Amino acid sequence: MISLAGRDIAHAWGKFVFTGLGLGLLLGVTLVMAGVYRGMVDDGKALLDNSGADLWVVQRDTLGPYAEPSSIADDTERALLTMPGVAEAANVTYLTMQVRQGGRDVRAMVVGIVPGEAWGSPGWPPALVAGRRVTRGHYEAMADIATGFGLGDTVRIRRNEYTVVGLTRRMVSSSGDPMVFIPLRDAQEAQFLKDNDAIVQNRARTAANPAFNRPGVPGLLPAINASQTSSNTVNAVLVRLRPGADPDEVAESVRRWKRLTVYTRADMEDILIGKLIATSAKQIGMFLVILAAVSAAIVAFIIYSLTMDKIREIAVLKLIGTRNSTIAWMILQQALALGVIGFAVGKITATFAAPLFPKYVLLMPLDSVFGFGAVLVICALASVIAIRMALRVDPAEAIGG
Amino acid sequence: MLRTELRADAVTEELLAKVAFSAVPLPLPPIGERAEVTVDLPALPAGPVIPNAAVQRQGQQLGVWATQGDSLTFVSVKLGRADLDGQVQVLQGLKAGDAIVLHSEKPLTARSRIQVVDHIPGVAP
Repeated sequence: MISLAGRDIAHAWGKFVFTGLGLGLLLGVTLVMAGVYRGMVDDGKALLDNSGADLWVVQRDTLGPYAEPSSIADDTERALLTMPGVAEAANVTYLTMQVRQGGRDVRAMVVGIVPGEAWGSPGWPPALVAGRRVTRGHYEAMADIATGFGLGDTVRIRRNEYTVVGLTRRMVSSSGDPMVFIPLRDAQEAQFLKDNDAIVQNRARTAANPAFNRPGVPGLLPAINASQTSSNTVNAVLVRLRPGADPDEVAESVRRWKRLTVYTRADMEDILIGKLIATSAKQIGMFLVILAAVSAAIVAFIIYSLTMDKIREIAVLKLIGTRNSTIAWMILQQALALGVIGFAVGKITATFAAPLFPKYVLLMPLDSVFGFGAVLVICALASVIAIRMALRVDPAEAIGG
Repeated sequence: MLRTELRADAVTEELLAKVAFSAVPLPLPPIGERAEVTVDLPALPAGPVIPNAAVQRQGQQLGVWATQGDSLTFVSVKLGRADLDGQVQVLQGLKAGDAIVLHSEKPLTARSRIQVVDHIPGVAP
């Protein structure tokens, strides 16, 4: 038995292949769109994985430190270390800002980590791709390669300049901004200490306040000024648990006895994925639906017009007694072939285009499998109209004018 | 170093130290200026050192990923003193000549497939 669909495609293969290519580009966009969503979720998960924490201790009743601002005293860490089940606790600060280097600036999340010989404690990047870890307590930084900084570069973060000594990869914030790690003390200053002019003005303001500038109490004004410019708050304490400790149990005891809000890894994923990127995810979901609908409409239109082009041939087939099922199968086969070509082109385009995007695009194999299934279903459904048209054609048309 | 204060900062675990100039700079720096001081300690006896970028943590253990051909094993090490250039003394766990992973694109596990390169592609050497 000859393959009618194959013969027909071979007859006008150029048209068929170019249609497939066009459809493929559209499917490529759809796949990339799904990849953008997966990338966003993966950025959030990477943030949690890379922090290396089991529990996040934040200011009470806040969704900190990523979804909401949170500030707690930096000696909370010590109190937490005494809790049963807690192996390590580390202060950390997060501040998303423009980091300047030479004439340009890069949006980055500046992370303050406890320096010293605490490599691998929570908050530190787990692996470097070049250079070394920060060893000095001040003015050294480790940057993600997505910032474009190189080893030995000097970057400016608020008041101070830092030398980049190490590079990381895939250390990103939940919104995909690369991270820059600096020692905690510097990060606290960057976050809470203002510029010199503001400090001088604030001093004048304090001096003008008779409550603070009392003639009888000589040391009061300098003490207040000093306390205003010292920063001993951090955004969160990252806690790592002892092996075998139950995160929920430890979290509950911290909540109860330290009067702070604590999130476990599962809570944090809910916050990041369910709240922080929820709107963007819905936006992309909406786009996916529209793209799928547009693709379906285009496939239906293409199949329909391909069928209409050969309506006379179909009438001839009917005239010579071809069964309806054979004609339907031919059209369905062509629709599916178009879907397969389109999907292959789309997948290849998406794979090559993904690394070119400024933010992380993660193409999951399972998404592709699901996408392939969806394309075939859409193509099959789209061919229904064309099949109906073909079956209703009058064999007499083959010989008519 | 002239003397260190007895009292440490409870939060930052830092000590106030008083440093004397061996050659007094002229003009003298202003009072209250923040200075960066590096203290040169007497040299330690020669021993194996590794770059601190190689030190990794698995659970509670500090160690390094040692390579033998294509296989990776996590060797826990006891570290000694570290210097400001990023070298750490290894007291136990490794011997001179062992091959270890210095930089990696991703955090490693014992099942990671590895390819040894001079420097990671995309990263300036």
